[in-house]
Amino acid sequence: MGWFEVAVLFLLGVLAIAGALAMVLQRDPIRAALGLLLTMITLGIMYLLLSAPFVGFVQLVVYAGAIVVLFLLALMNFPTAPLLPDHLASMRPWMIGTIIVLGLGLQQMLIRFSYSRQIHVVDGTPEGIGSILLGKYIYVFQLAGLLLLVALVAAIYLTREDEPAPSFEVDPEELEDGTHARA
Amino acid sequence: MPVLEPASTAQSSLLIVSVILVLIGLGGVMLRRNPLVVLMSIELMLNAANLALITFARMYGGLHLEAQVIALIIMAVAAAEVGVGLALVVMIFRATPRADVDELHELHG
Repeated sequence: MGWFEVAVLFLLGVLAIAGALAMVLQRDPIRAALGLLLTMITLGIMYLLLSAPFVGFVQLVVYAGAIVVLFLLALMNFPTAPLLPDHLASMRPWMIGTIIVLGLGLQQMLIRFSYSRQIHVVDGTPEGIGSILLGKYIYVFQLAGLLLLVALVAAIYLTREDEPAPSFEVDPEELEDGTHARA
Repeated sequence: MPVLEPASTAQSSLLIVSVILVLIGLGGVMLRRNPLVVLMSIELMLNAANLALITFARMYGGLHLEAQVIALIIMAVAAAEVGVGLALVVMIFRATPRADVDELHELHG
């Protein structure tokens, strides 16, 4: 990588972290979603620079395009929750301690993994990715499709308009008439 | 035995960016109380994992693209998760207008 790519990657990394911090620290959920959008877009551009152009474009289309828009749609359907007194305030030190311990562990892992061989790198073109995805990983691909289908059905089922809840109690009058009680 | 040499600073620092993003996402999951922001934080952690995968593909992958394929599958799983998660959040907002993940304990046994 030349110095220009390194500089761009560094800038993108700073932007990604800034977007993530904005997402967590903003009180307004819509601004949080926009911070997430910034992170998604910068990660997509990073993938382009890391010889993964196909994954980069998919990232831009799926995450920045579809998922963040879904979040924004859900946000605009509902009034934002009012600020509440904090119930878990006494747990905060434990939460932050967990983050710090996990961070130290991941840092140790990084030190162990940050050696690399000098290798020739191929770009992740759609052709190369497709031949692996539809070859060696065909069953994983099918499972992912099945998962998406199930998620689609579940989402539609969960958010359907409220019908009267099905009642399983037997209506005595209907039974006397000899007709079956509605389930 | 291949000779290992320190990775370029750019790649190591990308892994550090990935770690920082995971930690920020974890903080969001634990500290925020809006269910939508919690979902966004989970998305952020999945994205950080993807960044680490793509960086590893660049560092070690060489002629193999498996890591990028795994990243794509993670994206599909994340999309499914967002679909179901948003449906649940919509239900939560319908049930309790002031949705707070710390206050939701109807499923508590």
